[in-house]
Amino acid sequence: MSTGAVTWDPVRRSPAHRMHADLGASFERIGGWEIPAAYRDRARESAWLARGVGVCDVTARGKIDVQGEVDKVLAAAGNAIVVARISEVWALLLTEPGESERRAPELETAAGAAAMVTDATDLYAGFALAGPMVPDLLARVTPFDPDALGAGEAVGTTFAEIRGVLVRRDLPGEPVEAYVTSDHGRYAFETLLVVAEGLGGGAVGWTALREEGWRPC
Amino acid sequence: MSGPRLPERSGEAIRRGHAVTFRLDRRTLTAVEGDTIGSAMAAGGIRITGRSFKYHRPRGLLCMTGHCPNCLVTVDGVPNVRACTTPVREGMRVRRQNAWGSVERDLLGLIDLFSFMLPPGFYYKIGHRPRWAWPLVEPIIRRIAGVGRAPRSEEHRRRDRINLHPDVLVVGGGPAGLAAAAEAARAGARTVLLEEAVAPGGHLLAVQRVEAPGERIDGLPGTEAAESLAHEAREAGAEILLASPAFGVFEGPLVAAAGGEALYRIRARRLIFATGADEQPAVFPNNDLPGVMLAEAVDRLVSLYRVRPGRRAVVLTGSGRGYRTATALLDAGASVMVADLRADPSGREVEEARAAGVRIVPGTTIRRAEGRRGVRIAVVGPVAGGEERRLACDLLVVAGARAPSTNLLAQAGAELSFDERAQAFLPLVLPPWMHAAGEVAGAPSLPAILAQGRLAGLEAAASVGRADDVEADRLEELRGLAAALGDPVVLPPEASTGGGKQFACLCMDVTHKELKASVAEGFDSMELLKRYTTITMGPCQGKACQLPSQRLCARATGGSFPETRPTTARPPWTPVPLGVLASDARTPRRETSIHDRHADAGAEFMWAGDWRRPHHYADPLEEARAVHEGVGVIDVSTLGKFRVKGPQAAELLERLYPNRFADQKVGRIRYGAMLNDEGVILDDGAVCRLAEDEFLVTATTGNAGAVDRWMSWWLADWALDARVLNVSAAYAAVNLAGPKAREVMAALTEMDVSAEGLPYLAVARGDVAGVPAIVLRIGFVGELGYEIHVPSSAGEQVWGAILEAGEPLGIRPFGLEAQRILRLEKQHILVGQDTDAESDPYEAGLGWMVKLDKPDFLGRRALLEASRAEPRERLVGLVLEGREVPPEGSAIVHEGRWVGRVTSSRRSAASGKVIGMGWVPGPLAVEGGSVRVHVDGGEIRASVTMGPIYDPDGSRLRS
Amino acid sequence: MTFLIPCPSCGPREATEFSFGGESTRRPPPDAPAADLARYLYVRTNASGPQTEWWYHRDGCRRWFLAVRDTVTNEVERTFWPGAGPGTEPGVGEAASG
Repeated sequence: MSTGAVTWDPVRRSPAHRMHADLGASFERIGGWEIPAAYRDRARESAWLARGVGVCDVTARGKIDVQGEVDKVLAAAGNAIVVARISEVWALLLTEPGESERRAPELETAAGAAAMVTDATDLYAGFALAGPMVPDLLARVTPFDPDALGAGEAVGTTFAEIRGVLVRRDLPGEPVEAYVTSDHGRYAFETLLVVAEGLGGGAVGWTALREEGWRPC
Repeated sequence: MSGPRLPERSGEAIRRGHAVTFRLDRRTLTAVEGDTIGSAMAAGGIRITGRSFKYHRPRGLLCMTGHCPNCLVTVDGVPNVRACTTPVREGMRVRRQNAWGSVERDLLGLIDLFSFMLPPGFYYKIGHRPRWAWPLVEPIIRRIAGVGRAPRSEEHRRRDRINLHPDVLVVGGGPAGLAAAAEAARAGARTVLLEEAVAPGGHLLAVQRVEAPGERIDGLPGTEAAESLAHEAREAGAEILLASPAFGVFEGPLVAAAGGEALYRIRARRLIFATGADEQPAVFPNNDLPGVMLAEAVDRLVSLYRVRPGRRAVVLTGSGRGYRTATALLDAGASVMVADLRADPSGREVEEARAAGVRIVPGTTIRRAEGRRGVRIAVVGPVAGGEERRLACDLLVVAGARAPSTNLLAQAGAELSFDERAQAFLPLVLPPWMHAAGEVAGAPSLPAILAQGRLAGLEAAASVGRADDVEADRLEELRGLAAALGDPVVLPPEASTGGGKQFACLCMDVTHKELKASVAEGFDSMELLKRYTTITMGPCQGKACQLPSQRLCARATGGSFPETRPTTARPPWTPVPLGVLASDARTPRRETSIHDRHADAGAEFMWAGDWRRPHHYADPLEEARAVHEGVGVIDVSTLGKFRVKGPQAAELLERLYPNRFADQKVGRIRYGAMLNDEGVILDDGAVCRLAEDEFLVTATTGNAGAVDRWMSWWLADWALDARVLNVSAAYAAVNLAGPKAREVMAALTEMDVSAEGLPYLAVARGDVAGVPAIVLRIGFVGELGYEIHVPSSAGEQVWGAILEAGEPLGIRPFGLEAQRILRLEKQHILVGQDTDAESDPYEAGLGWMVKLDKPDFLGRRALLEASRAEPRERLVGLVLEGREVPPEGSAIVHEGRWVGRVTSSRRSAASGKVIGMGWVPGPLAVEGGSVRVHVDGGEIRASVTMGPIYDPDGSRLRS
Repeated sequence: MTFLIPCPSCGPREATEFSFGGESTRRPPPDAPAADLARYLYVRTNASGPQTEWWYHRDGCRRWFLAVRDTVTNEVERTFWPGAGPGTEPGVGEAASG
């Protein structure tokens, strides 16, 4: 019964995709995903990152959820992965876009019965927050004390009145990444933009963010 | 009292030559930068700042600190702004409040003459009989009483909600607070200070020349001293938030503060309260007349704004405090007489005043004030009783009775004790994370205030592990200064013996006489009086009436002042705009990855929990018919989805569900209902075995969160070797249903989707529209159906591909309403709609899934009991006569008696008949049984069905 | 609900990050008399003072734990994982009949 006549070229998109388009984003393909590379005014994005706060949709990066004996899985994970360790028995492993599809099955095999390894790329939407006003932005969206989050550390906490995972990256400027379930993705992006705009900031693309030293891994 | 400003002097807060023009009611006022609305009114000779709450009596500036209700005005449409502390702004429009006609000649001022008609509790007493009168009376009362009007515009300014986490929070930015913040920050503690005023300094601001030997600020004018202390604190690293009063201390402790554009939620490890003290009015007839002022207000007008509030002043005092004001007034060119409560006034301030030419009458109090729109005569007489004297004056100053501002401390759990010397309640027992410093802690003089502040700052910092190296000598010195005792405080008599209204509470217009009357009515304790008369419950929350009300209540109830404990005002301690409380209110919202497609297709959305879901795209009946006759597709991404994995995954499910899973084959689906230990149905869904040790479990949209908690709870309790992950958002899911669904599937996938390759209740993985998918042969509607789960990031495109592939077959998207019709035809239950908190599986017709022979599962013990008897009630299907759809919840009637209720009702798309589900007693639950459904205006005959109304043998579903 | 709860995994957090699971009870074995079942289902101590309760760190580490909370002051005296604390918490495997 199968026709086989039609071929599809599926592309992965963030739940906030249409907001990016409405903001005039130019998109790039990376690891099967379409990412907002830049918006209409690149100079303004850089200015926000230098003096205010930029919010970048990084949903495209790979995410692997590990529950159980996390250390055992980490031993098999090697480099090229960012570890967001939320508790003794729960971690999110963050990869380059598209990488989780390859890494998750490998790690699942390595984990055996010691842990459950799930490709959680589609489970979470992610937003990188960078710029000197990040602490001010966080004070407005989470009751968690951001000073208690060291570089390379992660926490699960209330974020924009929903559940979120915050990761402070060990990168120049120590940007913070926030992960929320993707069904809340557009709501979270809207909320972050409203707060960022009040502080002198807004949506920034991957290009501007990378120039500040950010990278997925 | 109008006239030019007093000569320029160091320490003044105004910038001469920088004019600011604004509107006050119908006139234009010219002020200068640095003025407040209140000081500008005083400089312009305007004495009446508003009309009172109940009696519409004229009121004037009283406190100049934002603590009394007298000068609430409407500024640019925002009601109840405190004029005395709000800076003037070019072009602002200020309206005085609560008057009919002009504030100067308020027509409702006549009410004052008929005040016998407005006794305490009048709201409960008048207009209720006859009953028809109340709807007429109430709006009039509301119109007459009250303060400003809420703005009608819908304009909303977004305000932030800001969470702060300092080590040390200092509440109050007077000298004690600033000193505390400086020390704490210098020791390395993250320090935040909250100050209600627009400038730091508190009562220091109005001091002409600061006396604080050993401190850098010694000899400076108050404003410069305040700036110096603030600078010291900021240099040390403290963050000072101005115009941000703390308005509540909640358990935790959590301090809430209202900034102009933000609501602050502050969690500090240590709290230092340096909230100061509020000067209190005295009680005598007409003590509310414009021109009766507190000493602090006079000091501020003279020192900061260089306005002389009167030419002939009488000052009432029982301490040196009044003499400072008297001297200042004399300096400003007024003639001054001091009525001193003490028989033998002495001290440096008294001598200085006397030398300067102030007339002093010892052993004297105010008997009453006279005047209509302002004070004109002060009647004074000996404290002990004796002949009175009438003195012409236009300013009556009440000085020296101060009530420590302990309210926030009491909210935080401090215990107050009466201090005989200070004649005040002081916070003597504090929780370990709390400090009190300055006037609120009873410090009698500036050196003691500063020393207490510094000590509190050092101690708070040390207790959070930030110790500064402080020399023992200095600590010793600070401790000595902090422990200083003041002169014994002499308070004026509680009330005067004279006639006329003596106000205890200016906010709510409560008089001494009314308090006495209320006690006579039986409200004979402070707490009862507060509730009955609303004393201390107005906008000032007791700041301007705590002392008088407490003492008058004591007197009225026959108790003593020390015995009458102050009441604790609940938050908000200061008036807070509702917009600040609402702040950045957010409504979390979930959307499926296909949301935009639905919107493009013109879907009507509805809230389903926090989800936005399409209710329908077109006519729901037509959408349902399309499913019966051809093919339809619905977005079911909102379903809860759980990955359950581990060696004991099957064991976990065996215990969570009454069903059996141990023998479930990989690639097969079982429908399961989750029960609690009462045997009540919590949720239902599909359990798909994807591997020996791995399941995908679905839950209903509304219960996904609860099922997540439920499963992880029992997993934690049982400690099984299995894990659960809520992957609901990871998958977009659609249900493709209808006789032509297979044809659409075939165009989308290489998978074998034939009746043999993927039979009913089978699950398989494969690519659909080029995306890795999990496909379930399952149906919530009574047709051949596929539930397709794909990664949510590709959901929108898969939806598009399905519509494209189905177009030649006439595919239609359908919404929740069509789905509800279709499931009702099939008599599939909706947990929570057709079941309630008492429904067990036997009653709901799901007894087939209960395997009591399993050793244990949640609800087994209870179901064992239930299985021993026939269910008393049964959930059954209903087919109704006629065309009327009875509302859900309608009564089911049998032989004239209520016997049950309708839980769902719709018109069937397949048959056109009205169908439903409902609860009936066990004996009536037989196929073809007859009942009646009660509706407005009559009863509808209905016949009972015990199985699906559509596709009863399931042949279409399984095809 | 502004008090803090020290999650055994994440440390002190706002109470609003958690879901409440009620006071801890003992689930009777499958063959227990009906009276035991009724007591387990419907009878609560409702202590005025320290009480052992279930809490779920919903917005954080997503784990259930037990807390001893003073119901009068809302002060949480201590928290621990099931099976790790003293006394009243339900024991591991108690629900299973074997």
